[in-house]
Amino acid sequence: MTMDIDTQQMLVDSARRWAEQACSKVERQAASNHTVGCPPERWRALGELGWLGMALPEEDGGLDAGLPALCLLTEQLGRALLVEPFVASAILSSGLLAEVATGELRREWLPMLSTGERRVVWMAWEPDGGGALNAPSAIATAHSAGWQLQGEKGLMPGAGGADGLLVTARMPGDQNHVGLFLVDTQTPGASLHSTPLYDGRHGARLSLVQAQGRLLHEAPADAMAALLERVLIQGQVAHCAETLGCAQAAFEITLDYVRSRKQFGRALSDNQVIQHRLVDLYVEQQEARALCLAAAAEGTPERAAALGARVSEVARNTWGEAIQLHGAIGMTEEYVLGEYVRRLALAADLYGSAASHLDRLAHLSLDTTP
Amino acid sequence: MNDYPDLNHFRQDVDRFLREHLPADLRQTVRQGQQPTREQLIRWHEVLAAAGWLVPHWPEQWGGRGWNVRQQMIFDEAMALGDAPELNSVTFDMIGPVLMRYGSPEQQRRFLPTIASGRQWWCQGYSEPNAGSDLASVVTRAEREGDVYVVNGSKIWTSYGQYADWIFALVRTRREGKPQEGISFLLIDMKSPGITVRPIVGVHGWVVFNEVFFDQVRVPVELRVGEENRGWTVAKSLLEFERLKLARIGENKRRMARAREVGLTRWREGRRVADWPWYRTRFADLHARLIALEANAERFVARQMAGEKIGPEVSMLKLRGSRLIQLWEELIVDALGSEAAPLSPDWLLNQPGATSQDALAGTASSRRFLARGYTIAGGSSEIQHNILAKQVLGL
Repeated sequence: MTMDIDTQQMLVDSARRWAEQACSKVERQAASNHTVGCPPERWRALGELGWLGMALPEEDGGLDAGLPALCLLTEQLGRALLVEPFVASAILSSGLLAEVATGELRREWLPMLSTGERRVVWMAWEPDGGGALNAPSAIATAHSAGWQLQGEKGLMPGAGGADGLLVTARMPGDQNHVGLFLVDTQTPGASLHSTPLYDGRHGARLSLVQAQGRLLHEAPADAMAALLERVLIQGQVAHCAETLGCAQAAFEITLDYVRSRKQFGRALSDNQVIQHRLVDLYVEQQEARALCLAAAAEGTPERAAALGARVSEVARNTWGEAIQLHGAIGMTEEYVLGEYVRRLALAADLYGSAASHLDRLAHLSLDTTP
Repeated sequence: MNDYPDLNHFRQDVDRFLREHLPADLRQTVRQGQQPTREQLIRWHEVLAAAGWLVPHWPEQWGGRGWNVRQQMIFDEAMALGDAPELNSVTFDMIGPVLMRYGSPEQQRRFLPTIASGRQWWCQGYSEPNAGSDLASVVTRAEREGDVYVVNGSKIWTSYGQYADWIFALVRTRREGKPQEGISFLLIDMKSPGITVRPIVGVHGWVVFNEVFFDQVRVPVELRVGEENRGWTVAKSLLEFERLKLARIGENKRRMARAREVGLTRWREGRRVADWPWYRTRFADLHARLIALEANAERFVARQMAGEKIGPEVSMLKLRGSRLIQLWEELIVDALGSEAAPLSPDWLLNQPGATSQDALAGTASSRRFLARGYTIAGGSSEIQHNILAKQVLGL
């Protein structure tokens, strides 16, 4: 199902209205001060709004809204500086579970993901921060009681407080075979090490010491990597939409500021040098947004890599220019811009740095015949 | 009318057509970055006209095919990647559409079929020594004497004036009142007595620019387009034509293909250029920008196809597309290294052990200089910034 334009507009309006109350500075601070940055009652509230099921199929109690609609939503959530890990959990990880879960496990988990009673996070990164989709460092061994997992996963936003974790591990016997497992966070041997991130969100690393996992899917490394990449692109595109929403808000704050701030007897915005710099930011943002929506409609690896690179740069330019155009006030924590600055700075590297996206795009453009 | 419901099929047809019909000498001239002669270009116009592909974006009434902008952009891209020369937009995208909209029936009958045949070359007489971006301050004057205007003054930066049969010029017909309200739009035969063309050799060694002098040039009144003193309206309308094409996606892809080819075929210190980290990062960065530009252009194309108005926001396409071409040219020159230094590719071709691949080099630097014009002509990047600041951001 894809949403028509009117339904999409209703979604955007309702997200905006919700955020006005639920993402006030006080509410954001409270969510951020929560032990893992995701108070369960607030997460369930997102479920009541229907948002947690948007990435899930209708037959599993979801809305199957499609990535373009999800991007319009996350754009609003980015503007609102939502603290909870909506992209990491409700899009990337729920999406992956929906790809692979079958039978009883599927019936048990998916409806509860929609309502927010359970939350799942895919530990997508290796300890070094890389993806290594076809060669995870963790290993799986078969025991009489089931599969046991051993290894580490890198810092993942939103992992703390999740009910289930999705992890990949190499299968025994054949080094070229990768398994995808569901690990209950309460299971012995699975330890999440949570930390607040500098943008007010939280993330966690995972250690697995003979921890039990349920095998969801196994495949040759390349086939597994292809499946994971497809899902990762969805999450990355949604993350970019969220980042761009945040960048647009920071831009608007800056625009308002330079219009009202007077120096030498006139508004800062009357200076052409200020105007042209604002235009450059605006154009970059609009271009990246067009690319984001195109990638949401058709997420080719090339587009996703280009999007990652562009949004990293836009995020960086936006927070840097926003501070410069404000002057010293832009560097303070108490002024409204500060939170956007921190969010944008971190977001630029969260789903792959600009450098890694450029490496990927160079590989796609130069190492293959067109 | 869209005579190709399947645009992939269309693209294949254009590619095949180019392989079969683009003259080999012209293809080589373009690949080597040398300036095509007027004869080469007119011959190519005639080939395109015979296939019905010279002015496909014109309405059928005037020999076009009424292609929509999406189809035009696919066509332009295929032409650019097939090493066809960039067509003279002044002739086919500017004066043609201006005459369709503002020309008298006589002017339309007289000029449009000849333009559509590819045999007539036009140039644009807008800029003057003291009127570049600020066109309202033109001083070349036209004084009415019965049925003729007598034109005196000069135009400068007239692109391809040395090839042109006709010039359309902004001239001052009234000195009182607002500067914009005393300008008329005249069509002038370049063979008229009193016209002198002085070619200006550019830093790239090409003659693109010219200075055109008018000394008592007599222009029949029936060659004025629109009303007297209302030429500003006609002139401004040019800014509304084909603004989506100013993203220059095709011309960017032409450069990308060349940059890629250089990277894959040239070696530096025992290592292929395409394997050097500096090249890979820069190539990918520009490719990412191009993918973004294309997505952004598509947004406006979709809007236009849906019959919506394209507002001033579209200036961003020209701003980004023109700059990106320059960045590709920089990368090409850097990737070629010393191979880009010789003045003429002939020198390289005559070196011992030279292969046909060397044809790419030689004039890389002239192409780079040529690309600087994209951010100046047709509304400089600074003007585009001003438009976006005032009309879109409301500053």
